[in-house]
Amino acid sequence: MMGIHVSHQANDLESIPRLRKDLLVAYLAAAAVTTHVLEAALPGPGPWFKPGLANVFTLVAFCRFGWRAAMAVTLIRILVSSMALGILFTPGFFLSFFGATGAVLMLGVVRLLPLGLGPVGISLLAAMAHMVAQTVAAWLLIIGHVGIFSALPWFLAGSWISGILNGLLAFLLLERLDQHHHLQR
Amino acid sequence: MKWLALLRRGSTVGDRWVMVLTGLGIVTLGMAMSAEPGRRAQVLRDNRPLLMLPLDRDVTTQVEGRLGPVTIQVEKGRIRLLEYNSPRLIGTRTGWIQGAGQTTACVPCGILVQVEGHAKRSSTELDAVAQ
Repeated sequence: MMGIHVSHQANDLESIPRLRKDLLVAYLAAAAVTTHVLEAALPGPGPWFKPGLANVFTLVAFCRFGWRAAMAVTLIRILVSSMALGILFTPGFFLSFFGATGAVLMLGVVRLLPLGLGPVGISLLAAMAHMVAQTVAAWLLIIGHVGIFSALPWFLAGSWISGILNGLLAFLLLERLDQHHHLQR
Repeated sequence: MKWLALLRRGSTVGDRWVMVLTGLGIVTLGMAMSAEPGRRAQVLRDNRPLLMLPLDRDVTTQVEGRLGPVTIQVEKGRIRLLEYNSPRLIGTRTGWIQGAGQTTACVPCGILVQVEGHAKRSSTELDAVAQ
């Protein structure tokens, strides 16, 4: 909290130095790790549907600081939360890693296309890329049977919903960040 | 209604196009891959066949997965798996399947159950993609 401990009085807000970009990215990564670990402890709403709320922070990093920041938040989240959950280098870790890689690659593609997308559209495409990459990883690394793809429409339906929800949450968080002088770009 | 208002406020025109097009794509894919009821199911571990179970005979059996025993249950033409040590119990929560080509799996256990037969149209396309 180095950048914001100067004062708690509203009148002094203008004097607070702007939070350094790398610190905000670190805060976003910490929030993503916490959310990931908490979500893993809660029962999911259904099979093949996971809200993936930690992705909200990746989206905020992407919309605010770009692709490299989003990749940093994702890598930190996957590694640290896997260590915290005791699943590092287990099949679950690799599924998570490949899913996240698919999502980050999609973010890289999205930034190159002039589609006029906001957090919701970006989140939706990233969530679907995440699910496709995860299914391919499950097929290649573990199951080895193409039958796994027969469930793909269900997986994608789940990621369609979670993608929109996370996009809306990222939109709200970005709005809040814009209201704070010391968190602005 | 609050969510709809938020969706309207928080999405761009591009976002709405992406929502509609991906939604239509998923529905189309789902319809293309829907299936007729199957007659038997294959149980695989690490892509190696373990069992073939006819779906017209109710039976409960157990196979050994990577994380411990997995129960396979056939009842009234349907089949399901029940795993116990998987972190998210996705196979168990998927429940019964019966359509040809449908699968249920416990990925960490390496166990996959597939109802034999083909989905209405797309199994050849799927195989081609997978190869």
